[in-house]
Amino acid sequence: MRGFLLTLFLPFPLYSKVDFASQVQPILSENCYACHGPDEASVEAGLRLDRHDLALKGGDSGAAIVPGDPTKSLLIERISLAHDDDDLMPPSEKKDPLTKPQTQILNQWIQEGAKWGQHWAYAPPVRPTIPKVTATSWPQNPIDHFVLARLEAESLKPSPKAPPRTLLRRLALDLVGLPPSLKDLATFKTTEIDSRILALLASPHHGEKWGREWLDVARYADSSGYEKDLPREMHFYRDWVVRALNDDMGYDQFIIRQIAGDLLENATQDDFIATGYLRNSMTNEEGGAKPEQFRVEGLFDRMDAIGKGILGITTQCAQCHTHKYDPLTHDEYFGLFSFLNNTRETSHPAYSPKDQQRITSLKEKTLKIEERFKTIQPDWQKSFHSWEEELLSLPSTNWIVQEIAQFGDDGQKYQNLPDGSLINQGYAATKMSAPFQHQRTTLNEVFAVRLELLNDPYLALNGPGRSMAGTGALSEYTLRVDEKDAVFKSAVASVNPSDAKLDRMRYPLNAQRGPDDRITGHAAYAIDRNEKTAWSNDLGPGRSNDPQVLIMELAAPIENAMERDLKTYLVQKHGGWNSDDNQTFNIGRFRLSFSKAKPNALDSLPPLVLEALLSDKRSAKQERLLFSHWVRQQETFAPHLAEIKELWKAHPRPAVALIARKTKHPRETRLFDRGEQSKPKHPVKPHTPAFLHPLPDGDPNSRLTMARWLVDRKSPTTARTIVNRIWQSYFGKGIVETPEDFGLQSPRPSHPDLLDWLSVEFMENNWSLKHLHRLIAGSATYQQDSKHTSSLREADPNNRLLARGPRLRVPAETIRDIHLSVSGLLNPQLGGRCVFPPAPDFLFQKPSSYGPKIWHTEMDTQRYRRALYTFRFRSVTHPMLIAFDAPVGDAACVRRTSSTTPLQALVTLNEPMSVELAIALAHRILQTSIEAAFERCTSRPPTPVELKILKDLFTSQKQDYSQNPESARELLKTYAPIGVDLSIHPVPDLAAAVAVAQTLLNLDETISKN
Amino acid sequence: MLPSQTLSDIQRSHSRRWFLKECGVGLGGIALASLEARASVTNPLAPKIPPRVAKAKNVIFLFMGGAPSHLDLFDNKPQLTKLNGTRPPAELLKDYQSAFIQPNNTLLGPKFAFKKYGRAGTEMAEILPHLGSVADDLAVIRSMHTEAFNHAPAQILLSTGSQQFGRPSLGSWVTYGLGCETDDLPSFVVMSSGSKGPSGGAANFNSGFLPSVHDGVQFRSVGDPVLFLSNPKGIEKNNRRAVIDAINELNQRHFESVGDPEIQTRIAAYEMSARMQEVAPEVTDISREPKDIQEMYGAQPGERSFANNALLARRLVERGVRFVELFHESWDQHGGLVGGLKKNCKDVDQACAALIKDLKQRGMLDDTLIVFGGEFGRTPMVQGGNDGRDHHPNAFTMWMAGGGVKGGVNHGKTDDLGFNAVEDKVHVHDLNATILHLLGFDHTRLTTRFQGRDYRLTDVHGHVVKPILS
Repeated sequence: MRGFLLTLFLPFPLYSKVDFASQVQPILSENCYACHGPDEASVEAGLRLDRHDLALKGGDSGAAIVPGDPTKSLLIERISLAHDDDDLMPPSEKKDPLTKPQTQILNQWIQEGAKWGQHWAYAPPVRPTIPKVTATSWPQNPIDHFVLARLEAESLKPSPKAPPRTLLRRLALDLVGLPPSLKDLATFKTTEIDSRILALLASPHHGEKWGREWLDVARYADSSGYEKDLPREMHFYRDWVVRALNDDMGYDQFIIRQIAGDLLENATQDDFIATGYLRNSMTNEEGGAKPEQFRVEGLFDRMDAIGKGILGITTQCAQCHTHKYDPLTHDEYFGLFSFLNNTRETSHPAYSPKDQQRITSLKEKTLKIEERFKTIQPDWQKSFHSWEEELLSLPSTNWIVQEIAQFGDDGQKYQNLPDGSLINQGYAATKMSAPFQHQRTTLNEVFAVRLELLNDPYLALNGPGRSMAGTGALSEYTLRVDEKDAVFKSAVASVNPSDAKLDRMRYPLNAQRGPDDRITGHAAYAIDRNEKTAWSNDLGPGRSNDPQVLIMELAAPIENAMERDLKTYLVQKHGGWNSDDNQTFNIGRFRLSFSKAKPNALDSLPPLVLEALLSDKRSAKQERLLFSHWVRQQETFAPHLAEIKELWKAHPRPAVALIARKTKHPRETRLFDRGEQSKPKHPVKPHTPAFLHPLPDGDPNSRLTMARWLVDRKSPTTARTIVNRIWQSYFGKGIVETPEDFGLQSPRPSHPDLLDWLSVEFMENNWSLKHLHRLIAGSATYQQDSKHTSSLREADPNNRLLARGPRLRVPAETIRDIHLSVSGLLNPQLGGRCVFPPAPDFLFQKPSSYGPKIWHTEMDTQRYRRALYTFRFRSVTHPMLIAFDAPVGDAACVRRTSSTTPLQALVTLNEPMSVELAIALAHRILQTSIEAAFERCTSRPPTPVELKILKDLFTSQKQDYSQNPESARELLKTYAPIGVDLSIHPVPDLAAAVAVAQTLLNLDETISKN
Repeated sequence: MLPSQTLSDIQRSHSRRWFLKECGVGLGGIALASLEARASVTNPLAPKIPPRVAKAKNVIFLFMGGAPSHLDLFDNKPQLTKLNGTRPPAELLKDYQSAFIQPNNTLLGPKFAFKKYGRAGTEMAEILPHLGSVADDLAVIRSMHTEAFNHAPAQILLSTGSQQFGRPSLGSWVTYGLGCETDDLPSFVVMSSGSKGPSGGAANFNSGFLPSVHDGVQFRSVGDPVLFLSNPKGIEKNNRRAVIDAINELNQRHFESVGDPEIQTRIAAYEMSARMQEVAPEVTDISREPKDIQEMYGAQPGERSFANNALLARRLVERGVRFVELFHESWDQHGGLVGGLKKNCKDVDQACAALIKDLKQRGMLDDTLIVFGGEFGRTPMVQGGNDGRDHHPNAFTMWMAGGGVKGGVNHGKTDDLGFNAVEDKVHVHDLNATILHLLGFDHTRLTTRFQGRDYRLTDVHGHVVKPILS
């Protein structure tokens, strides 16, 4: 058996000649490259063994390798020294000495001329010839030739085909992530397998199953991570992934859209949403956090997700220094980084198609109503023009932008922007009195103050507020002149919402607090010395994201202003109670100006209207805006305006989808010494690593070109990486066992030619993932029985050679989905907002959670949606999912662990939701039979012995519960499923059936693909 | 109930071992032999012998989240008192970044008087009298420093050796290296008290890219000690036993038919879950402790408190849990420094000292390592009026006791203002290296292969702090 194992770890049976790439380089990489590898900074004794020319050149001590003469080669001398010799290589404090076989391989390699070769993964895959096999009747497609050829070489035989029911269950779980129905099982014939595969691939649930696999890679979560872990609205991205897979979007397009969908010509909402892949990075909004620091952390995370998830190359090492093993330099890391660095982190108001229609119709109706005015008042143009003329005749006020800077010791951060405005980023306080120190003003007299609210792509929905709706509220504006509050006599604004209580937010600001008498409304609230009233820009969805302006006139001008100490306080006390949720209601970006003249009507026009008014060449849109603004001021229009206002109340609220856009001005990327942002070194232009394929045509600085490069037909690793990962999902292990790393340190592929054949086949079929699924699911290899036989277990315990089919515990989400499905409660609705199935409340409260989190448990059948839709807080992922190894989304995950623990048993036996599902299954048991329930769970009928065990259990439990009906009643009452009529069953029977149902739901077979 | 002859061999062997332990035969020859036997199966939590001589077998990590003020509690700076209200020297502030405050805010003298405790004359604040009483068991490290100055990243750095999320935590590394001495309880238990949960969240005790069995498992001192531990309402012990017997019986039959050894692991897991249901409530029931022990800790059964958690930590370690981590996230005194510290010290001082004394009187202190501290220190400069301090990564204090640590040691120094660690500096990587050393590991050799390279807790850093070793 020893000999067998040895060949298992080598790519092919031992040749008489040593192969550099498969045999020599792994030894050099593992044992030598840390000091004699690509990283110039850590090269010892001037010797590098990672490149042919340099290896032959040798180091400070002379020729390490003399081709053909091992005895003259220092390399051989040094590795052969006594173990206590100081000159022994590798140094004993770093590594164990080389083994005898390793030494022999190096020896033989030099003897044979020290020929060099390329690492397999860095040469693009070429379609290999399909190997010949002896058992020609076995293969169903080329995959099987590769697998069988290898088995035959090892004198092994494949297993027989799995029984039809096992096979159908395996297919269903792999292709849609749900078990087959009883009807499917009853009618399935093995001869129909190919059409069944096609049918499953065409199911809309296919995308749900495989979408979840991609979401692992995309480190998808519904919260921002770090301390605050604020909720996010990324479900449009999740749904985009599911749809793209259902539509079999080519994998190349799938990647291009996620890396650079925003840069495509005529980019659609979907293309923007797809860039959520980049935005799934965590963001830190804890008090005192520096926004720029965590922007860069986010970029490191994106590099990791692209490296691991798309390229199959680990980039993380090269973040700090040139890679020790793989030919990726520190500079090249920042070359790739620089493509991503020109990205603006922004958001997109995402609407469902239905909502989009609703908005279109809303706008059309509004237009019609406004147009109606023209017929009501045919001479409207005259009064419109006189209004226009009157405004245009006014002098324009000379506003002087004031230079101010945040002071004090608060956790919120304001960044000063070049146009004199300030933006609030990072920590979003719920209540604060943001203080700013003025630089000496250039005005000797100040008559009025102007506060502009400005849009910014950083803010939700472009701002100008910091709330999730882009809204904000100013409770009080305070100007301190030499430590005395200035008095204002009037305030006017471009927006004056009617009085409103604080209930319009995404999360009710005071849901868990008592009565709240704070209100928001018109401009005067900003200067009324009452912190309970605030001026706000919140007009409701669809109307709250324009720039606005507030003009405040002082009761008496500030004399000698140049000599005074001036401080501004933007008192903002209208946020919610929970600073660990999205309950901020502050101003996002603003600019402050002074005037020494009295402001006029121009100053308080909405900035966009003013711009239209003053424009030399108005666009049609600007004309429309002016008319619309004007008409709404007309007294006779009042009833129509009321109609419009009523209409707009129905405007849907968008999801704030995080997306990437190009920056207006390119950011200069500098290499960070040791990966530390505080140590920027030389500038680095966008470029790709030299050891990979060249950049395709197109703007060499563009993220879009980089995206195209990632999925270039010439890429050596991209297709192999996704093919390998899909293989891994079917068989438990990839052809390469390390899906995150195809580099020199990775284990050799078990079937290198198969990987290449599949990769080429995949690319030549338009990168169709469904084609790949068809091939794998349609192969005899996949369709084998998964029984372990003692001889196979000994020969190949991990089934690397695939002489049997896969038998694996299914992922966390699939366990939940199976349980939902067999209990009959599954709500198969596709897509939409996340759902909140029952979960222990304390997990979302202090001190389990850092801050209180809002978890509105679904009280209807929404709780029975597939686990894909469960809301995921990174810091508090649903405990059922965590117990079964679901990743939390802190970083890209391309390979889940699969554990078996007692805690899992506690979940599936005791978690209230699990009990609820068991009761629903018990209801089914009583309506049909134990046999049917068994078959639902395992896709096969029970054996007589199995049935007896279950029936005995039922009998004993019924007896027990008949004696303890109180217990039975309590069980059924406490965990009653929604929408199931339990009253039709005798209580002890139902409780006893719950025991049977729990048994079935907890069978290893039920939560495994067999 | 099913007749016992239907139980598989595996189940029987497990039951027997538990029976032996439960009946007080103790960890004698038989139990030990079975533990060794278990190591040969592929249980990732089977107890393992570390490669080097270990001084400590278990760890209790007292994570003072939010970052306690070293200047008011552990690091006496008379000079800071003198310079109270003056600006810090400009040269100290070169390249200095603060989280909340303007860096040149005035200096703030320590808020509490210091006392010398023990034979070693270890200086600590007077509001730590109980810790003072065990001063000669402590190795106080006053020269800690770190890079991160926001809570979540700094906590992750201390817990996992990296500010980037996704790496295994210290507790996970320890159970990865040493396995666990008990089947009845998780190997790595986490509890939380104080006003909030840890800023770094579960990433502080996640297993990262190690197998997920090394995740820290959260226990609570009120309600179910482990999530979903109790049977559902209406399902009694005998009902549950019948169900588990049926599950395991059917699983065993299926195993015999398909031969996948994973099924046997699952059978064992269900048995263990039942054991855990028995053992965990008993272990976590601190009312079983004698009154004097409860009083020693200041524990009040039924409360959610650090004192209860500390007592529970001892009980868990006693039962073979390898790594217990107590988070007490309450130390972020941007304001309310005096009141906050008084309260926190009242909450933890007595319990920490009791833990040391209690372990000592049971002969467990020698192989249980206790580590106490937060993710960074606090500024010598004031925040707000005169009752707060900001985050400060350049200097802070931690202490260790037990498990191979020399008592009565005062290691490292900061400058006169407590601004920078200046003498015998100890980075968080050095602390982690030292912890692993005490457990019998060379921190550079405890590795796992991931993404094509060998990862370790200390990344490419870390030096063992030898002067504090016994």
